[in-house]
Amino acid sequence: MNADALAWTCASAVFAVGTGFLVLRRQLVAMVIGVELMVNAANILLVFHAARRGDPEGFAAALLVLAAAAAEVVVGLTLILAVRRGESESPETGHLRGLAG
Amino acid sequence: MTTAYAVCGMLAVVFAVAALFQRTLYGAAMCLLGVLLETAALFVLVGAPMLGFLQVLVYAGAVMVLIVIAILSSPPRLAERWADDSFPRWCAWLAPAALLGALIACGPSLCAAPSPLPAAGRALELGMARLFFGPWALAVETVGVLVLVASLSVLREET
Repeated sequence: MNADALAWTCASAVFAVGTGFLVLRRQLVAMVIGVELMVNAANILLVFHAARRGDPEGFAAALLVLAAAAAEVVVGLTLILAVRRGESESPETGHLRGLAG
Repeated sequence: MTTAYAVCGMLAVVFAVAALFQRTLYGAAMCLLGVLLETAALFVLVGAPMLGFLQVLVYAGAVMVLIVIAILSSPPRLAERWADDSFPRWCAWLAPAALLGALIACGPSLCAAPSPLPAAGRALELGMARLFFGPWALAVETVGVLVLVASLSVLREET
């Protein structure tokens, strides 16, 4: 079995599903989950090809991507909680109600 | 080893597609947890156990806890309204259809030219450590500051 084709197939399928999450779902948390899937797909390929080429820079980049994605999730979920808090306190002024599904 | 990689990769895809079919956000989050754990297994299989460990620690641990807390902290009225009823269900079938198409397209490549999995080894992780404390130190510090600022954003503004 060709490991390269296998890695590309799995990563592209996960990336496609993440894109589907981002496009099809209208909930903010689901959008965050979709972005996480896409970042994971990119990381799978990054680590695979770093190992294939024997390149430590690929591993380092994957680790930095992991940390940056964690920070992005924290900011995104904080924004979502702030929006929800605003909606629960004053339902008539929920600016992002259209994204709530 | 390549077979194990294939099994973990396909499981990751199956969990991702299952997440797309979940009606509740909690179910989707649990499927995301499966994808993250399978990704960690993929990292270990190519010889990067430290990255796999960090994947479990950061993603499957901290990030998943944040997502679950964000889901559970919504008021019941909002949670009902955030349940996904407007999602056109037939669109979700595009994902397995795309996966099937990809498998058909990649079928010859998957079977014809066997190639082993790369094995990264400890030398690459040592090289990564040298990068972090050498030429990439500024990037590491920048990402650290980014994470710190992100964690400060959680603090509620009381004024």
